[in-house]
Amino acid sequence: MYVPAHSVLFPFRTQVRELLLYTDDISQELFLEINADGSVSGSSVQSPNCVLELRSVKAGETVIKGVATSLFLCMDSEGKLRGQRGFAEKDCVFKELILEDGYTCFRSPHNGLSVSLPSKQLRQKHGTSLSRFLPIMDKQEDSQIQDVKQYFQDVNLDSDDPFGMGHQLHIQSIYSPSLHSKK
Amino acid sequence: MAVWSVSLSVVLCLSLWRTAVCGSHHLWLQTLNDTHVHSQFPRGFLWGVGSSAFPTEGSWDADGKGESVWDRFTHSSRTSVDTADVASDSYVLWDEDVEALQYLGVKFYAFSLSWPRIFPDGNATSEPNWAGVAHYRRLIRRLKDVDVEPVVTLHHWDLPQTLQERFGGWLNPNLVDIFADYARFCFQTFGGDVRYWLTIHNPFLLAVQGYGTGAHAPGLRGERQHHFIAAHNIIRAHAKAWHIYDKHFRCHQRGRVSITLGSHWVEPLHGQTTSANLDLCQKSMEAVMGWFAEPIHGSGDYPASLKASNRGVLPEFSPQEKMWIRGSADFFSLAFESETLNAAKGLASFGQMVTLELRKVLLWVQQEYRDPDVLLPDSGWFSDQSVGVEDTVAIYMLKRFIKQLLHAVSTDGVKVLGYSAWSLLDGFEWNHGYGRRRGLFYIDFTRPKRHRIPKTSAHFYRQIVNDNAFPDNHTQHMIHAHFPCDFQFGVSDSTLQVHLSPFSPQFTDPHVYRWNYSGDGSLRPVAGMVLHTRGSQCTDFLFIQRHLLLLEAVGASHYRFALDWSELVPSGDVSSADVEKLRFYRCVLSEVRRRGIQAVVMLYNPSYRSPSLGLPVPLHANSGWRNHSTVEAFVKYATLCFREFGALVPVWITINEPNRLSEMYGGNAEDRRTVERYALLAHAKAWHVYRQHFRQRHGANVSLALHANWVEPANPFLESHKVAARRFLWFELGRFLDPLIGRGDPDARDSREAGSSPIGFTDDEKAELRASLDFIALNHFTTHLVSPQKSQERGSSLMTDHTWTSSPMGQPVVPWGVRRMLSWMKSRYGNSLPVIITASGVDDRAAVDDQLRQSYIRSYLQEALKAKHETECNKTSLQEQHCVDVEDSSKDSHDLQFGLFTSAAHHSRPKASVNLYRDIISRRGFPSTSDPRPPCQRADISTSCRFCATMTESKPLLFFSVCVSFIIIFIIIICVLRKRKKRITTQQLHH
Repeated sequence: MYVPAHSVLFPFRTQVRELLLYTDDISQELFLEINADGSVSGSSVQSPNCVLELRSVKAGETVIKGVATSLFLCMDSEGKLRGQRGFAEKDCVFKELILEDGYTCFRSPHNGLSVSLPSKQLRQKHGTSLSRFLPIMDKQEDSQIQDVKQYFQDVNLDSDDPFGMGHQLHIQSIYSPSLHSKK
Repeated sequence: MAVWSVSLSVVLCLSLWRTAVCGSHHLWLQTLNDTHVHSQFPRGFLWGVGSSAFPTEGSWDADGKGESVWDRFTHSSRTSVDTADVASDSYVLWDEDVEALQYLGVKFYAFSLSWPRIFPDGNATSEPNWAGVAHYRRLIRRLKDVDVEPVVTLHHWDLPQTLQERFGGWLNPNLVDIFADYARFCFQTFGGDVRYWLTIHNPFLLAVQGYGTGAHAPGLRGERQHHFIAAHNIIRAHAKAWHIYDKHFRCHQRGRVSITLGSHWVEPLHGQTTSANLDLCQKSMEAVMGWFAEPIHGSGDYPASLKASNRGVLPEFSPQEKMWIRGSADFFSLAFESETLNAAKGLASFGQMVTLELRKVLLWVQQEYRDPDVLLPDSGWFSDQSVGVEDTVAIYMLKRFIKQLLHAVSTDGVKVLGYSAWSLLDGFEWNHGYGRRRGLFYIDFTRPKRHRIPKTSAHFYRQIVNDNAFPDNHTQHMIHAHFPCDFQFGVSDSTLQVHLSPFSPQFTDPHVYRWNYSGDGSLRPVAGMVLHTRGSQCTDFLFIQRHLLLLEAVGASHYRFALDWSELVPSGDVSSADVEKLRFYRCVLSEVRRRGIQAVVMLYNPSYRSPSLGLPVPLHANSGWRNHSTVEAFVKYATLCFREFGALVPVWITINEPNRLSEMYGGNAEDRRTVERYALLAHAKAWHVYRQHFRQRHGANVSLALHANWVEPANPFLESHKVAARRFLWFELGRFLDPLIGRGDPDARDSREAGSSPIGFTDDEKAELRASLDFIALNHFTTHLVSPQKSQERGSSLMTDHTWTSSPMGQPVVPWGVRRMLSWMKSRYGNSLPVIITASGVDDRAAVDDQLRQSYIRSYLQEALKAKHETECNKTSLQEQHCVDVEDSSKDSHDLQFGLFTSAAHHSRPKASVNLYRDIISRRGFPSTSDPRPPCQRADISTSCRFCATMTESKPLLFFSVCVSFIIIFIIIICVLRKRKKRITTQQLHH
């Protein structure tokens, strides 16, 4: 899914973080995942559908998109989550609030409800425990996407050194894999 | 019959429709094959160089030349003070240009005619300016004399100013006929000597920059449709010129005519090949190259996508015109350079990424326009004017283009006739003036006499032209041979962590349990009952078995790993060594030995992963290797290890990469030298301890391992770069190995070159260091380029050649580097000491099918084999060991991905390279299929005790035969007994 030039997202198309949204309570640890059928659920393992693209569109406002499925995370007026192909500003933009404990809460400015995963103890407390998320880095061994990104790096067409050979001149130390491999 | 033909035509339509819709989409989806077989270009490939009239000729009003739109544009420009009034002075110094061509050795010269020099008012029906005509006649004549093919462009943007004023330039359809008259004159006048004609150069830039953005002359910046109208007339003018040639000149001049079209290339944004992105990429290509190529080389009309998005502003061709334009080119002439890329990025990138993939452009041309012959008269990048003659980066830009060209020609089969580097001379680079330089020859525009001085890129291009090959002379041929029997294959780990748990408790628990089987099924210890347990055994450490299984899977004969100093001696004082951890390592070593694998044990492996850099914490707190007490502590620790493990270890490495260790501490040059000095002293002292107390008993070899990447001068044509490479090797290796190997006092020259002093030992220390090395151990991973830089201590800085294959973490894969490193070692230190490569490898993100690592292992071993062969010719013994990291099995998945196996968290799965490496080991190299000679046999077994060998080989047979003989003996005994019994009974009977 690309962002058309006339969309409100266009100027912000580079403000992107790629990560997983982790949440937990006493009984479980989950990653938010957007499935290809548009359902949104919590996965106990890191699946490709858990990799999300967080795009800042305005100060404090974020759009969340599944990388594998290219679906936007959207919320209807009752707070129910779904993955949706078309972007709707009303349903798919969330206010990103960072809580004191470092967790993040995503709240819809439209209806004031938070992004939350259904908890197992649904009857006891409604959706309070699983609306705090910790954004974590994606560390999965997913070679293909990364390799392509590596290969076609953005080149500076105005430079006489578009591949940045000269930029390496300032690196003082020589990299040795031995020193960086795990203890 | 009718039904048949209808259905056939339906099928035809369908297939046509499919190609039309799919276009070249798969170009963005397919991964191109990057492994080329040979670096040679086809025989007869045309190497050339290009230039253009306006930027180089100068003499703007000499000998009756008329004013061009560019003359007017530069003279009236308010922003720029530069003009091309003199420029490179080629109108006067044209014979020096021909000398420059001869220096390069090129086969063709692509230059352009100045229209206003031949017809000052542009009108080709009037009398020409004979001085101008004579100039070009002379030039062409001379080119023919020196065997350089002229490739002549009729119009490279310098339109006569009169035509601009009278008609409004290319906006006026009258220009079509006026240009055609001019073309006819040129064909007639010069055509006898010209095989390749190009009508107009890069009409995309001419239309967009001249009539759209206004960056180029005539600098019109107006209506949106203007550049479409200009382009429309240019296409028709070209077609008319081509038809004139085709009709009147082709039969006796036998030349070929085309038009040079500029192009860019786009890749889907972030590599996301969604169908929306692919459509936009296709659209982007059609809006730049397709705009001109589709009418001329394709259907005769503008691309559908261009028409759809510019409805109402894009002029239309009449059906007759389409027929007339279509096919009006005898080959495809392509320009691929920065200006077009930049303009295309601004005008038609549609949010996709503009890249420098010449190969893909050529593939596009091949697929879209029915595999035409292609000529590249204008291709290359630019340098800043400050770069001068030493244009190192330009060499690598040129190299990159040529590598892509090679792939297109030899791998993809694009029919490229020839390639021309742009340009011959520095000149007036249009809107960039003299700030940008594109020449292979440098000109100092501040001096009155415009001397042509070859840049280093000229030397480079000359070499390519001369060899007719891509300068990658090293890795091409594969040799088929065995590694000699003393060559050893290993696997290496970094620090092997102590894993006391998981631990199997089954033989260590002294309690007796009662099992409540019928009740709750629980086990309860019986009070007061304690049994004797078996003593602890190595099999209790579950980690060891599992870990060594991986080693066995590889089939290597050597295993290198490092002990964890900070774990073994946490306080730094050997009297308080951790007994349990010592036992763990002893278990590892004895299990390694039991499997017939030789251990290569490293005492100290500095690592950024450890907060104390791998040292015991108190030592680190006490400023670590900057403090002499660390030397003492190390020697004691080494003595402990020699004593504890000596019997199990055939090879010791004291310190890993002392040349990197000093960088870990930072500080100034003096501080770093202190660290280096202490590290070397610590090694030497440990070596002496081993020699005095352990050598006789255990006989192991002791050395230290240096980080030894190879370097090449970034610019091979500059002495300063060669010096930088020598300096680097001295700084990285010579400084450490010279005192250890005891190489006289050769430092003087090297250190003077390096501009920095050697490590600086006292005479006593020198004596202690001398000859304290049993072999040379190198950790070789990759190769760098170096260029001189005064500000750095080692006097050089590193670069990477981006034509080299590179790993995801940016480590270049340069197999021939290892060969050069080994031959450098040999030339500097002779053959007295064996060389062991104790670590080598590459990161590869693939979880299972690690293609990059496979090719790394294969090619690096190939080169090691070549090195071995080279040195063997000189009767040397080179013992070598190739090691690849086995990934450690702690749970952290954020890892370097250097492993042959995935991490334990991913179940230690073997990657594909394990099989490859195992295969190479079992065949001992790369034997040819016709050479079934079995790899090394243990000669001692086969000759000394053939019977034992056969017996050991057939243990079941032995067992069987023993059984059989037992039975036979038994039967005999029974028989004998029976007989005796019988005899006794008969005797009794007789009695």
